[in-house]
Amino acid sequence: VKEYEIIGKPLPRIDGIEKATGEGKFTVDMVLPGMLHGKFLRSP
Amino acid sequence: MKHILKLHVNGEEFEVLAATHKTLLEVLREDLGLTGTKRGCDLGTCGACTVLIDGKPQLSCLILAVSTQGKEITTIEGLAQNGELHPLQKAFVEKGAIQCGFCTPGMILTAKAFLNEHPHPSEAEVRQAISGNLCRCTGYVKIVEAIISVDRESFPLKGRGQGRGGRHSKTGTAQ
Repeated sequence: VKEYEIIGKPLPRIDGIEKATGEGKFTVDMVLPGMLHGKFLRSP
Repeated sequence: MKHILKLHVNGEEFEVLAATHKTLLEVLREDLGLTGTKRGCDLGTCGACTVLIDGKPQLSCLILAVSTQGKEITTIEGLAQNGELHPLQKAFVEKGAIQCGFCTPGMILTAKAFLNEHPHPSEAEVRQAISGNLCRCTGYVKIVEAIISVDRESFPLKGRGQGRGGRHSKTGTAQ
């Protein structure tokens, strides 16, 4: 059986550490200079 | 009305000028920039905003920041020490207990408080302990595996008043 470098082997999640430490930024975590917030106002 | 709050977060003292009606979650995320604590439902249902207050898991979306002055607050940013991941963080990464990662900070903090009280838990006890933390990726099996896999001896008790795990202890000081 051919040994592959990646196939068939566990790989660490690329963003695992970021997410486990709270460092990872979700969209809602981002703050930019002069950032504005919008909200949908829908008819009832 | 704004008020100067003195908060003790992750071993550091912070002074924040914030409106008195702000929740701890809002002050952590908006004033201190600690966005590791997540706003999920904002209603005390999902557990994503869990932080440790004097060692007990509490829902920061239900607690006014003013009421947490003089208490020791631990967020997910305060767990790793000197660049070294906490054993629970390591276990979550290694066991594949993280998918989208939104519930992860709350899960890990709830688990930490729980393991301090229950060093050798059964699977059922772990499931009960994290019942107040929802994972919408539904990755519970690996989360439970990760928590059970942590060798309790590998992390020391830290801070005062280490609390119990589980959702029942989380709403204690809501104002």
